[in-house]
Amino acid sequence: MNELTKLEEVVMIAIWKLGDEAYGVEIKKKVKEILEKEYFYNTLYTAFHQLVRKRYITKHFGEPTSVRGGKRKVYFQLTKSGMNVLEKAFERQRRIWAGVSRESFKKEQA
Amino acid sequence: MLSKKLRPPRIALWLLTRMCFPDLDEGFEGDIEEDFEERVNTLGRKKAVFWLWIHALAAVPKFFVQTNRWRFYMFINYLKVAIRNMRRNKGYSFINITGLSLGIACCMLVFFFVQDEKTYDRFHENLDRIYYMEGYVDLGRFAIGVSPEPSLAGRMRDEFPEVENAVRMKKEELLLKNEGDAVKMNGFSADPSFLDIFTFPLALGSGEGALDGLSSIILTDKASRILFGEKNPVGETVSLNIRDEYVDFIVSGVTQPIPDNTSLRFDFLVNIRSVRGEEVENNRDSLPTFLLLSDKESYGPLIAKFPQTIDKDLSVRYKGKGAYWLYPLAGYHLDSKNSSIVLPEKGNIAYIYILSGIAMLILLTACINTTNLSIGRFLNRMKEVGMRKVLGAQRRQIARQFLFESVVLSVFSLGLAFIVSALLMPPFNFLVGKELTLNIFGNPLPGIFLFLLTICVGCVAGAYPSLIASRSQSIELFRERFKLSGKNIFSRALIVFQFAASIFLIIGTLFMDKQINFMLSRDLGYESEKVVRIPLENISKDIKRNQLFFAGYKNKIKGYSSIKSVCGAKYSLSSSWMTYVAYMDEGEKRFIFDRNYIDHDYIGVLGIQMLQGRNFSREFPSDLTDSAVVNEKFVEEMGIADPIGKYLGEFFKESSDFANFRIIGVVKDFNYESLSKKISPIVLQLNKDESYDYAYVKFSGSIQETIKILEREYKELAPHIPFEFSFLDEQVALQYQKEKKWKSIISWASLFAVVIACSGLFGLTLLVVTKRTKEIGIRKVLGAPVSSIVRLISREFIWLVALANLIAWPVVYYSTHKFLQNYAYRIPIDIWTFLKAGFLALLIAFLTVSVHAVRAGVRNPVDVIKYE
Repeated sequence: MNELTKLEEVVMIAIWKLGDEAYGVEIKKKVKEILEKEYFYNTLYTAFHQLVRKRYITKHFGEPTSVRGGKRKVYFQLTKSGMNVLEKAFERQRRIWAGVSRESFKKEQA
Repeated sequence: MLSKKLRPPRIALWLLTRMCFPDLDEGFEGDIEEDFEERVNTLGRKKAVFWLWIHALAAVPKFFVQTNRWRFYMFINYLKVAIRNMRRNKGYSFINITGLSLGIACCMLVFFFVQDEKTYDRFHENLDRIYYMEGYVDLGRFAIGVSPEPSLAGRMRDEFPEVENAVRMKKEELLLKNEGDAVKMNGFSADPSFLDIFTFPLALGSGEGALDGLSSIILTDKASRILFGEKNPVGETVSLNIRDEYVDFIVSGVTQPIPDNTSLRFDFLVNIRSVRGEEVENNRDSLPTFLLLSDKESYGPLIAKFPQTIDKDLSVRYKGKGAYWLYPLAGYHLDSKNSSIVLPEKGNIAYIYILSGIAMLILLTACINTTNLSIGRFLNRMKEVGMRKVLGAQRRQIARQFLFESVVLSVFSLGLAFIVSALLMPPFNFLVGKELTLNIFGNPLPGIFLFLLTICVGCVAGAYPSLIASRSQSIELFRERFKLSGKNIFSRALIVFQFAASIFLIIGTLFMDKQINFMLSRDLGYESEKVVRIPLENISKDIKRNQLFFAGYKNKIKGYSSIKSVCGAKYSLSSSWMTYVAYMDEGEKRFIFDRNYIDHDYIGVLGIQMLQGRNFSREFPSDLTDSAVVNEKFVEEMGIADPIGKYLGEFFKESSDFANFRIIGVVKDFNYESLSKKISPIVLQLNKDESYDYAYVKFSGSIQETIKILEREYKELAPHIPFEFSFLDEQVALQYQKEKKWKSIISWASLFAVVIACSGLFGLTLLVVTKRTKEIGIRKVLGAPVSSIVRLISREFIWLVALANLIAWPVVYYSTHKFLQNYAYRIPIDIWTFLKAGFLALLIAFLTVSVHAVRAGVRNPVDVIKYE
């Protein structure tokens, strides 16, 4: 099984959290909110592309509207295997940080 | 519909879609547009556009890194393999890199030469608008070229709107004096507009009106350093010798260093009226004139106006059909069609072709080495290529790898080429008479040239090996049963070419050498040994004073025992004399002859042989006014049966100035000019006023002592005038300086070509010998002597070199023939020189080959056979 890059992981979390509203602009905002760093669309779409290829997310088109130059939105959704991978990633994160809490840092700094 | 304000900039959007992976859907663009709209609404359009552009531009490098990443890794691998191969086969790499770097270095030198020649006069800001004017008058029998009359410059400026400015100028060769000795310098006397038309910015002094004053002088920085050293000369006085009087001038400016590639060469500038006074405006005179047009396009319209205006005046003035022409200063240097009196120094486009040809020949020879050696080495790399193929390398990739390897090789060579060309630059500069520097950062051109050259060299050298490597089948590669079909013919053809080029250059060198020796050793018809030539033009422009000086000087030095005799002449030997065109009585036949004024002793001192009649003699005072001595050629071309006593007036029409001159003697033809020119008919006369421009002193004592005497006596009579001298035999040899330099260039080139070709042959023999190690061993076991082994190996190559001879000879014959056409007196093209060069090439090739052949031959067969 392929590992996820950090960005891919965050993108998946963003899609999960956004639920029905998970499309480019919103995902970008969410990623920025989480990582405190702006990723532009070309980078994000590369990640989308990879995730779709790995079948962790699916995409479907919305209805065309008058905004966005008349172009349709593309919504993303996590698949089952996507959820599995996220869960694994979460478990791994937990293991990595096991035994570390906010207080540990404060103690070290003091 | 979207309002225009909310629409993102299209180019940025396009760039972004291009710089993303290709499988995009409309969501991408839609998202960007939505985000953009939002930003326009919250931050304003300017910021939004800026934001989009930043991201669009940032996407470009990212995209390339992403898409080329694997190719890049592959190239790293190629580089690694290439370097490993180079290190493993140090000998071959050495041959390749030295050859290529020598070739590239030669190209570099020639590039700088060509660049220098091609950028002549480029530093003038108005270059494309500067033209010089010259008139041609068809006088029926012949045409003459004339400079415009002095008033024309002003007229051009006033009457023609196309002309922005005009300058009249005259070359001046004057003595300049500050403190210490006077120095002879070249300069121009010109109108003040000189500085507005040409770009010679001043380093010191203000450019405004620097030439306006009648006693102002502008010095070049070189001249200022000679006269004043390092101190600031502005405001100081400098004396100029104008008509025998030193006139004080005040330095009003010093130019910045003038680029070496300038057609206008001068040491100083003065106002044209300060040297010539009001005479300048005398309209019977003519003055070289340059025009500055108001714009580039006005050349055509201006020229079109000439026939109606100034051409008419020209025709009236010279009583013939006259027409003015404008020649651009741009491109003047290499244009063989026109020349101006004030700009004597010209280049020759032929030199550019010859030098480029030679450099390309050397580089090509080096490329062939690389090609041949890498084809040869390919046999040892079959397994590597086979493995790559099995692992999925496409044909294209194998080809690319081999190309890349030879590019790497040529990049390495480029590095070395810098060192080589730095070493070769000083001698090269000496040979072409330039002061070039290896300046690759001054402008982008050398960089671009070297980059392209390196890539080209790599591709040319690697093209054939990469073709061979890529088309081979992997199964054959593994069995190492690969037959390089066609390889033999191709490689051999290349070797033949290499040696043909070398032989071409060798024979060229030999013939040039022969011709030069021939010219130097030929009996010129006069004695040039132990004769000193002293120019007297400096003494005074005044005839009377010149005559006094010469008479006095002659008297004084004749008293010394080491001085044998002294004579004077108007024109110097080994330079052109005054040419006359006269019309023969019958019909319109022209007769062209050279004329010189000499003194009574000239013929005796220089040992010129009298054939008929007598020399000028002081016993006949009338010789001064009515006698002439001619040469054989004159008699022959005139077809006179009994020349002595004939009047020159009998032969010529309208030749009043020597109608009453009688031929009193005929001298044997002597080569007073370079041997590249045929001897012309000459007429020698005494000079009525006995003033001469050159004195010839024949001496018998030691050189140093004689010169000391000559200088001492000279200084006594003319303390303020620099003493110059030269030896006549050196002067004669000096005429062939150019030939000697070219011979050096070509002999160096042939040396390089031979060395490169031989090193290639050396490498190739080694390959052949290694390939046939076992065969040689078995032959030896069966009783073959060393000599037969050597014959076996060298036979093939010797044939190739012989073939190269046959190919080179016709080409050499043709070009040598062409080259010798430049000389009126030339050596015959003999077969011996060809044979000599051919034999030399064979010998060198044989020696090169036999090094390996002998080594293979004397090896113990036991060692050889058990290898593997």
